[in-house]
Amino acid sequence: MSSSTDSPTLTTETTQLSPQPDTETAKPTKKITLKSSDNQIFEVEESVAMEFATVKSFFEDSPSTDTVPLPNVTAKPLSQVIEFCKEQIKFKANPDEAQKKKYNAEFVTEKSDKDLVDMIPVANYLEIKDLLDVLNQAVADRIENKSVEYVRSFFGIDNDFTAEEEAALRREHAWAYEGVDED
Amino acid sequence: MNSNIDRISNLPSSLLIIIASFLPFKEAARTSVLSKQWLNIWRDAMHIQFNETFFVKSDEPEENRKVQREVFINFARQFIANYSQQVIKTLGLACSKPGDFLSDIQNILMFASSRDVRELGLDFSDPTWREQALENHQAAFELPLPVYEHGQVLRSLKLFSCSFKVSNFSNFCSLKTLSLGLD
Repeated sequence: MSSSTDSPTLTTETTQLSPQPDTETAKPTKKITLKSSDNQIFEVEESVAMEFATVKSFFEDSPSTDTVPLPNVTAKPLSQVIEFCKEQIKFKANPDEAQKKKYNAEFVTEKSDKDLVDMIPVANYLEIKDLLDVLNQAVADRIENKSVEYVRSFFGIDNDFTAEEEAALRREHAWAYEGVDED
Repeated sequence: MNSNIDRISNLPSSLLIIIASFLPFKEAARTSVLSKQWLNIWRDAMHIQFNETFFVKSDEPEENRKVQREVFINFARQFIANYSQQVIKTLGLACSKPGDFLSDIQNILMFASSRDVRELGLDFSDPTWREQALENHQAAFELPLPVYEHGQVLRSLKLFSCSFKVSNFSNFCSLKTLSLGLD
């Protein structure tokens, strides 16, 4: 058992037989600890953590773990993603499409451009499909009809084209640059 | 300063394709000049609009428009030849002279059907009809068989100046929206 990190195949079966998980699930709200890449600790209810497909499969592979390290995720976007998933759990228990739509709209409206963009890779990594859709739609709405320069600064993208390369690309697809708003 | 604001560049291309797929087609095309990583992302975006009016200027003489229409069809031809995603969400095609490009239009529709397109919009009306005040004109194009054969995944179908056989609509079990129009 002590070498379980190297050979996880058999440990799943043994832990299922041991009494430990039963005593734990008997508690009304089991907490799961998530650790961000900047070493912040988040205690979340199991039902919330199971919204994260990546965390869920982590537990399926090694059920005896108590802390899930998230090496690709920093604390700020993680806390916002947790906030979103907590609400989604409530809507799962009491389905109300109109309220859910309203919540999702408000959730993105109050976020800065940077917050939205920073959450996208987190939602993708944790495989939260609903949130990824909400974020991508919000981003699409915010950059609608905006200039290339605006979109670059929105995403925080470094332009690595030379001026000549960029001019040639713009000429090649001149049709795409008509009807763009002034910044 | 630029190096620490480049938030989105370390995302995998597969995620950038998802982001670009939330944008209108013209806007997705403009992402090609954001940076080298974005150069070809839009070529796999899943909302595709082949719209003649992006290329053809209605205020120019017909001889110019004819050339612009050739450029437009050539663009669409190349786009579908290079496309690498398995599934597309939307395909819109607007062409005022379908009779001049029958095989290309057939190919575009074969392409859409083979990628299990969810929303299909076809507009073969000609703006000059209105100028000539013609009250009756034949539908300019007949919906080809592959569209019916892949009908079971279509959620939305919009047909303008495109004729069809009602009896062939037997397996459109996912269809939620149907719009038909003459011009």
